Amino acid sequence: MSSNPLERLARSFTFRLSFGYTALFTLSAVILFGLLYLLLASTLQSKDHEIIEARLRECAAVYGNGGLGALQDLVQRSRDSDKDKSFFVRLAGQRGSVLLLAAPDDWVQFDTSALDRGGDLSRLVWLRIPKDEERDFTVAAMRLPDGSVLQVGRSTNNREILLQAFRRDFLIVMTPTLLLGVLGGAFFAHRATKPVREVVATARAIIDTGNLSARVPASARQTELEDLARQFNRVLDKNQALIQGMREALDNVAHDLRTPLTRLRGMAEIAVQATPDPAAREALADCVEESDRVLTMLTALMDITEAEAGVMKLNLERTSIGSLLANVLELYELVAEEKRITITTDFAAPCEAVVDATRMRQAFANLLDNALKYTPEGGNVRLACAVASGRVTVRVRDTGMGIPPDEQPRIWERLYRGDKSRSQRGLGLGLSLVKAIVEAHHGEVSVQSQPGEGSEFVVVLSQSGPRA
Amino acid sequence: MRVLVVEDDSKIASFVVNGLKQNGFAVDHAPDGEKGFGLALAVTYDAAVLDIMLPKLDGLSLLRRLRQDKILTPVLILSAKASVDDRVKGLQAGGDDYLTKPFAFSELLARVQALIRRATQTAEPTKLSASDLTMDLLTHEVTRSGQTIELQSREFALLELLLRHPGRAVTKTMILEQVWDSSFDPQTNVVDVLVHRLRAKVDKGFPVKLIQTIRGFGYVLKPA
Repeated sequence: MSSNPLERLARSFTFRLSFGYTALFTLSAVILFGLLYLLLASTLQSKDHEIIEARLRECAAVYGNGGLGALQDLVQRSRDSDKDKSFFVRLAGQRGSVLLLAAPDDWVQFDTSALDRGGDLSRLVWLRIPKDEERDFTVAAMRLPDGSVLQVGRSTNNREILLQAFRRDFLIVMTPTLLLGVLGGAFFAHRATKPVREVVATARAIIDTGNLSARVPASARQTELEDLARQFNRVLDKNQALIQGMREALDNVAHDLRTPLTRLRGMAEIAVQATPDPAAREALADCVEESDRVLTMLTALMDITEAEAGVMKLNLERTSIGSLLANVLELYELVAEEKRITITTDFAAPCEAVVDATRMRQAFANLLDNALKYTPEGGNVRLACAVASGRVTVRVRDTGMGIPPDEQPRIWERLYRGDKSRSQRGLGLGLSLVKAIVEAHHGEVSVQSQPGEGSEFVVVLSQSGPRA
Repeated sequence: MRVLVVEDDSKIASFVVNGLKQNGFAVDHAPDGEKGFGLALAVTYDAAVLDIMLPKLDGLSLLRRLRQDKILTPVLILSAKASVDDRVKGLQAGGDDYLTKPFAFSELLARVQALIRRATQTAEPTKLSASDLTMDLLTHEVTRSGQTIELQSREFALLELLLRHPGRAVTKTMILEQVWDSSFDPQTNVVDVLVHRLRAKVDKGFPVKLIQTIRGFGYVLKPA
């Protein structure tokens, strides 16, 4: 029922299910990557720290044992060998004087005040100084027992670089992952909701076509949704059996009443030919007229019951409502002429709708019949048919006595006859039949009436018929 | 003319058989489908009246078997089922016409006669007449005692219908079907109005009235 296909997509259960699946999938992947990143970063850092700390302790031990000279020796030795070349070693005296400074070649000048920040150096203190885009310096500082401060540093990989590489890898991995998530999500959601869609399609098919034998395709699997489809089918079976039973019961009632009516009528017809007695002939004629009345009533009641129960078979076809109304008019033009009632028509062309032409003709005929019946001699009846936004509106207006407001809701009831209409011929079934037929077409019928001025009956039908 | 009536309800069968006999037909009656089928195979009938709901062999199956055996007797189906679907089913099974119960006997008679006429391809008359009234079907000229009567098309159609069934009742249903091509029975008696008009043109001013009302049964064209 949505106008916007995008809106419909967003509301689709399948879409929401696959969207949720993808979101969850992505979130888990991100969390996993994050954890992995943290783990990696901390592993790398502790490795750096381990190396630097070992060197610091070595330097401190050498300094403690051999003093500044021994430390200088160690640094000098290390600088000559390739392995530990990259270490930075600085020893600052108690008053801030630099006793020793050895920096690797790539060690750039930086603000040494960052190193002299004092603070509590009784424990090992770590410092991180950005060097350039790729590297950082990591420096460990410790106060030695003689009060001087020993600092050992090393250039380490920049975390940003690590992050960047990681982010790149993350994207490279995540793009196919996400794609896989979306596709997988869509696939599984589509698959999982298949029974639901089949249930909906079956229900729609039954409502649209009236074919009660439609069923959801059976599946051997035992999931909850498959079970839903199975239970739905069972409900349909029950429904079909009930409707079938009702249809047969109606058929039987009609049949069982028609047979005695046939006998009654036939015997009266034979008897009337054999009876010269005028009184007896009158009585027999009454019998036949009454039996016809019963038949008319039976037929109308059957039609109303069928239409209301939704078992009326409609032979739907695209029909010109204008021609249908013109056809109904032909039937009544003599009656109108006789009563000197002017019938005016206003049929918009093309006024077409998908209807059962026979049934709809019956409905319109009943409305026109009423209009003519209740319009006094010399009055007017107007028949109009218009099309607007996919709907056909038929109006039948008369200049009759009108219907009092308190009676208006009751005129659709079976066998109801207003006080003023009792003087007229009729069964009190006409409007019930109109309503039943129009509603069987999923249309609407209403009345507007001013007592003393006339009534207007309005029938609104969907152009595309009850199936749309 | 020999007609077969297959009907299980004895009362209905009785008035149909008697009615047809009174109208000059030789009539055989079968109370169930099997007997009906046997008779239809053994005797050549000009027409058959066949009920649908029958014991032993239902009417539609009987009809299919007859058509399979190339027995082409025109068949009027009688049924208590009035729906369009049932009518279509009956005609598809090989029926030539369909009449819903309850029916007026005069209508059954008219339909049987029409079936026989169609089957024997009796030449269509170009003129119809009754008493001093004549109707030329080619020129659409109607005269009574030499006086021309101007009729509107529906009045003409009604008079033609009455003239085609001289002396026999024409029912409201037949008139609605033939004149308006309508299977629907309007509450307001449009037929009365039309008959009233036709009378005003055909009978007014003539001492002998031709169009009679038989209350409960319809109208008949015969000099009163």
